[in-house]
Amino acid sequence: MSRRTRLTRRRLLQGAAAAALAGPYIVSADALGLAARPSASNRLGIAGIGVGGRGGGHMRSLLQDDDVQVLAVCDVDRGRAVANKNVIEKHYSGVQGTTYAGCDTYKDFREVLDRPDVDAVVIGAPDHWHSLLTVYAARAGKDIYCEKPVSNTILEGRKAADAVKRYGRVFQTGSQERSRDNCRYAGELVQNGYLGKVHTIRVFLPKKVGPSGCKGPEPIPEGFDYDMWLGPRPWEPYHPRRCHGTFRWIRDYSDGELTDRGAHTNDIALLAAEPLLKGPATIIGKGRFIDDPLFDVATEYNVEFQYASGIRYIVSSEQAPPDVICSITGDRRGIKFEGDRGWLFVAIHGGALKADPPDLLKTKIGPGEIHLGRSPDHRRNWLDAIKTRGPTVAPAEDGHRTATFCHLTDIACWLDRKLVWDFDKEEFVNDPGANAMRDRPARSPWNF
Amino acid sequence: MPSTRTRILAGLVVCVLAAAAVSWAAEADVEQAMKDLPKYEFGQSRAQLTLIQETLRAAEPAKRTDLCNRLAALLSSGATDAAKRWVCRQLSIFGTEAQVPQLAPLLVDEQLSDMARYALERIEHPSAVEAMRKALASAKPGQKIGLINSLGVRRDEKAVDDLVKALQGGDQPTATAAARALAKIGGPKAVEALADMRTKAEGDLLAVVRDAYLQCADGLLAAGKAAQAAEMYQQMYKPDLPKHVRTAALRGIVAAGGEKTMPLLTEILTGNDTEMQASALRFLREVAGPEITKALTDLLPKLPPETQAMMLADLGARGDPAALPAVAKAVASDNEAVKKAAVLALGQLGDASTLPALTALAAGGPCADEARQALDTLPAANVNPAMIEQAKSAEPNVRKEVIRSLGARGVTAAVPVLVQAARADDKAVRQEAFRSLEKLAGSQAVPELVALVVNPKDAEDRPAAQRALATVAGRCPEKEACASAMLAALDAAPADAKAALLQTLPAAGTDKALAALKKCVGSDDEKVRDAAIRSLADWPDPAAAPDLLAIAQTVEKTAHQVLALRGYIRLAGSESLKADQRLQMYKDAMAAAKRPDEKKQVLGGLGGVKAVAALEMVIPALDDAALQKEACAAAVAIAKNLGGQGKPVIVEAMKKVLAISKDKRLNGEAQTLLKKAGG
Repeated sequence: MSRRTRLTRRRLLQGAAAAALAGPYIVSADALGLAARPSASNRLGIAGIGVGGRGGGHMRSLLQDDDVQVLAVCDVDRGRAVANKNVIEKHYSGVQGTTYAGCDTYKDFREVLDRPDVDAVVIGAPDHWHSLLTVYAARAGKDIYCEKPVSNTILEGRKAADAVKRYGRVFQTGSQERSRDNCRYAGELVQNGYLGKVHTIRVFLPKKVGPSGCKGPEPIPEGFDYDMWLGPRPWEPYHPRRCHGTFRWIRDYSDGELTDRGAHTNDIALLAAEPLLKGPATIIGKGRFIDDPLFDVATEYNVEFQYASGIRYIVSSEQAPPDVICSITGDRRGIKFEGDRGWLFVAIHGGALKADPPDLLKTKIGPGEIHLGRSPDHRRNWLDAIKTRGPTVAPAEDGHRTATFCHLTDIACWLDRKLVWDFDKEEFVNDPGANAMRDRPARSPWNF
Repeated sequence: MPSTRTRILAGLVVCVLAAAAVSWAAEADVEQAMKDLPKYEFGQSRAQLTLIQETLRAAEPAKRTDLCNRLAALLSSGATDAAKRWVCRQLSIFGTEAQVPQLAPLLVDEQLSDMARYALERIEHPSAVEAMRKALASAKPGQKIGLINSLGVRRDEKAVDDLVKALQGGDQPTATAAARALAKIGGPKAVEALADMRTKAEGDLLAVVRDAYLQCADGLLAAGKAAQAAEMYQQMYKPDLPKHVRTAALRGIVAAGGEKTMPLLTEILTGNDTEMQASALRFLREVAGPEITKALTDLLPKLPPETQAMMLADLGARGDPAALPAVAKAVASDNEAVKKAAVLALGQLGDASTLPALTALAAGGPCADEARQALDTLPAANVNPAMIEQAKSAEPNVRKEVIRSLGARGVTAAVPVLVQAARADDKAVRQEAFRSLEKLAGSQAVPELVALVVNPKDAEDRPAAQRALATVAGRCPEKEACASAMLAALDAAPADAKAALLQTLPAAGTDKALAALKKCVGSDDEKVRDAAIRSLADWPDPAAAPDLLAIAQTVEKTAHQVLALRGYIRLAGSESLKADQRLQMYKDAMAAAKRPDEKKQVLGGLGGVKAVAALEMVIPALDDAALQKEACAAAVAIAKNLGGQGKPVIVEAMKKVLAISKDKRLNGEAQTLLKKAGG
């Protein structure tokens, strides 16, 4: 497979003074804060890998950032790559007042990672690609924004988090709820003991999934590299409902709602209760998996974790009961923390809060108490961290921990027997069969 | 007549036979599924496959092995490829060494090589690994890469020689796979081969080889061989290597420790590469202990300003109070970035002794914002009492900063001092006192707050006092006590003060407070009357509704008419009212409304009433051009929640909406509702 080597202004300069100019560097406040758009060499060069619904949305959001230049988009679906390119070029043409045609399109992400002018990538590809792309990007010296869940298996996630750590990359998990004040505040209420001793955490994750309508293979559309889309996962015949928006109902690529909204909901629960959740934990899961020629994820589930520290954590497909939800938003999905002095419900998405006693929500967290990381904007938090080489609000290790938790719920439902999980060692205790499910063999030539 | 014993025995026999029948039937289903499996094609129902899978999951080991053997036998049969792929998936989870002989030949099969590996890679038996190793010799290039990957996952030490050959061979993709596999297996031969390839490889292979070498070093470090690992990391920390590779090496160097670590860190931290400096500090935070604080504080004054600023941030985050003297000294820096970083770090490390410096900085100058932030985050236990003392009597510039910070810090013990400060001579001190009282005061402070509203130090302070009182009364659970304190002062208060007190009564919300408001609506004093009507319009519950309607219907002054009516319409939306009560209120409000704005407000409220009568009330508004947009939105909102009731009314309303609305989304919803209602 041939890959184009791009010779750019930066690459030429790199040959002369690699140490001084390689990689993103600290941009002074002056360069950031001035009314004029920063010069090209002071803008972060960003590329999108996987620019469908969510990934494309990220590209459009980045166009609002004056200190960013979207240089390229990569997608195995040529139509999506071109559509994004057109939007990006139209925007920059308007900004600079002349025709801009500088957004390149790619099908192979490795060509994107070869570019020295790309400082960072946004990964919006399907779940089964997240960890592999992270490893490749980290190894290429790029900073990373990766949509949740950061992995499709537990061990893939560990490899990705290790690669990020090894190369000192700035990584942001697409757990946008962490940048909501309400979610942060809820975590601070829990960790500072305002609910008393927390004994139960309930995650409500309702979801309905309809049938796929699949009756057999269909021709691969023109301009869609299906083989590349499959990547490390087993070859199976093409059907339009296998890919794009509905991949997440197929266990080869995703764990369904357990990782889709589960990654958001469990992430906030884990963020809030992290110091209280001391393992190991016994896990008992019951699930009903959809009976369909193509879709096969769990659509009804009840998974209970019993932590050694005494906390019971339940993930279920039930809706939150009407008396705990915020009447204004009516969201029935979210987390309920129950303590011996009260309870707190956090709706996902949006972070609407309800508590008993209600005055709990008037609590002010004092300076000497535990404060969680504050981030007014998730994307800006990542961009600023790239410049300061500082931490993000949803770093790789946190994203991995959340994704791992979600995968545990899927494995527990699938195995339908009692399991014991060691969080420190990241393995099931005395259970080779369950441990085998922490990873999946990769299709050639892909490997981590 | 059979005895009881006989009947029980007979019952037991029937149960056993029934259970057996169920079991035989289930077995028959599984047998049928096994019979049909070879014909399975993608797109067909998977119900039978699921049955086999569930049987496998629930089976005892011997039965499971038997079933797996039968599945494995299909791999060499004429079964469809789809069936064979599915079999490999099951063997991947349930398979054992017994099925290795059937899987092994497929490793070089054009269609099924990857799926055979899918199963073998997970079968925890040496024969599975051996089969994959043996297949290397006859595999095609693409298959070979997959086999190499799997041997790496299985950490097959016996494959190292083959992998080294593949690494050194000319085929780049194969060599790349071999490098990754050697990284997983590790060991002296792997390390040696990778070290050699570091000098020979190019392009993508070179990047993978470097990564593999670093992973081997990580493995050695984890195994306790720090010195050997450190040597390897040092080899990767060379100026001609890409920065991210050197960053990885640096991390390893810091983690491995050793005598070369601090000199290297000193070189980095006193150099010009700010990105590497940030990485160094981050790695130190991950792996180093408290003794590093001393090393860093000794180094601090020698660093260039930008690096000093980064290190100060790090010292603050580290939270070791031993760094406080060095940080406090850095506050005196001429460099603004260093100064600001030091001030913020003081906020994380400081105690009462840092108050004078911080309050002086907060009073004005380039670091004022940082100093305020630092005051708000000072962690030590002795800080709050010291601040309370300063709030009593410090010089005004300091006093106001301390008072502000007491509010931000949530120090409720400061309330008595704040009440005193609300009568200070200095205006800025008084203003900050009111702001902090608003945040901190409880019901005990209400009488004093009332006194401050009635008789402030300066009349200009009254709005701030009023705001504080209203906020405090609003959050206090002791509503009657709050109202009593307010009402006790009301009658004797002069007009301005009375007007201000009236505007705090809704926060108390008691019956007596409402009665007082109603009385003041009839006051001769314009200010008092105005304040009373405004407050009535803000009343928190429907008890004020009749009076508001009466005002809206009778008062001459337009501003009061509008205020009263808006308040009435707002109360009509109260969740405590039944639907018919709300409807009547909206009807009365619509009749009293003279302007489109209030009529639109009524329509907005009607949109939340789940009653056919509400929709009937909206329909006439659909004919009024000034109200059509709101009427359409209300009509659709109501119709969505009628649950099949009032179909004729829905039809009439939706037809009108579709005739006049230009909102595509709304029209789509109206269309759907019309169809459901039979229109």
